Amino acid sequence: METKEAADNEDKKGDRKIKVEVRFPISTKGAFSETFKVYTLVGAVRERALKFFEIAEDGQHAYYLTHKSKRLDDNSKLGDIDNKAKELKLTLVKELIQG
Amino acid sequence: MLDLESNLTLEADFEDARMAAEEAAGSLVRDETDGSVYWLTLSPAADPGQNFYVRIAWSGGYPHSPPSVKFADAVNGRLDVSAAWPVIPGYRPGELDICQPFTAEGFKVHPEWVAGPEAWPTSGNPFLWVVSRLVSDMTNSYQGRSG
Repeated sequence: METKEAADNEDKKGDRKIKVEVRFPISTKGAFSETFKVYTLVGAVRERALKFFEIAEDGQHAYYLTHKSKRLDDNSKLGDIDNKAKELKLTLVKELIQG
Repeated sequence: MLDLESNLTLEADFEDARMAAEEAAGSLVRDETDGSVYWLTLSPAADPGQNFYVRIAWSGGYPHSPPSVKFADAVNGRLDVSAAWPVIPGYRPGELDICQPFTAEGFKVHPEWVAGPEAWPTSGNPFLWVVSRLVSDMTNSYQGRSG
């Protein structure tokens, strides 16, 4: 069992891991789920999720991740979203970029 | 009136959509008199004192057709009030429609969307997708209430 001290040490080293689940409502593939280190960038998770859902970025659409409806910056770290969380549930949003 | 298959599929997908609305401090309820109609109540994160009421009508069947999405001045309220609309890119209070490929009104304005990358998605949970889009827009793109 993980002690608080061990968890704190992992936090300091950036080794703590978070299970991330990404759902894309219009996919038939179910949710993407993977464990990442807390310092992983949101953009890296987004890219993994796009690959899982077999989506190719095309310049006409924006694909971004949200947490509790709030759009996440690709350059933020998973640990910045919720530094206590062991699991994050994210949603992939597809948006048409209109001219 | 919805056919039986649409009704069953809609009911099965409703729970996830309702939970997505509640996660955003909103609510999603089925209309008491018309089973194809749902009412989504949302408040923008930037202005939690404002309530917006969205009428989502799956009159064309589910999941094969996009829903009509309109803002009203209350649940079961008027649909012709531009002040009931938020200012969000792609939302057109003056036309009382959302010009995006997740509404029946958007596909009417852009018939070319029917085929290609904007085609209406019939896979997964399109109800959740529509609610997620509305919630995300209200959270991330809200610029105020229409005058």
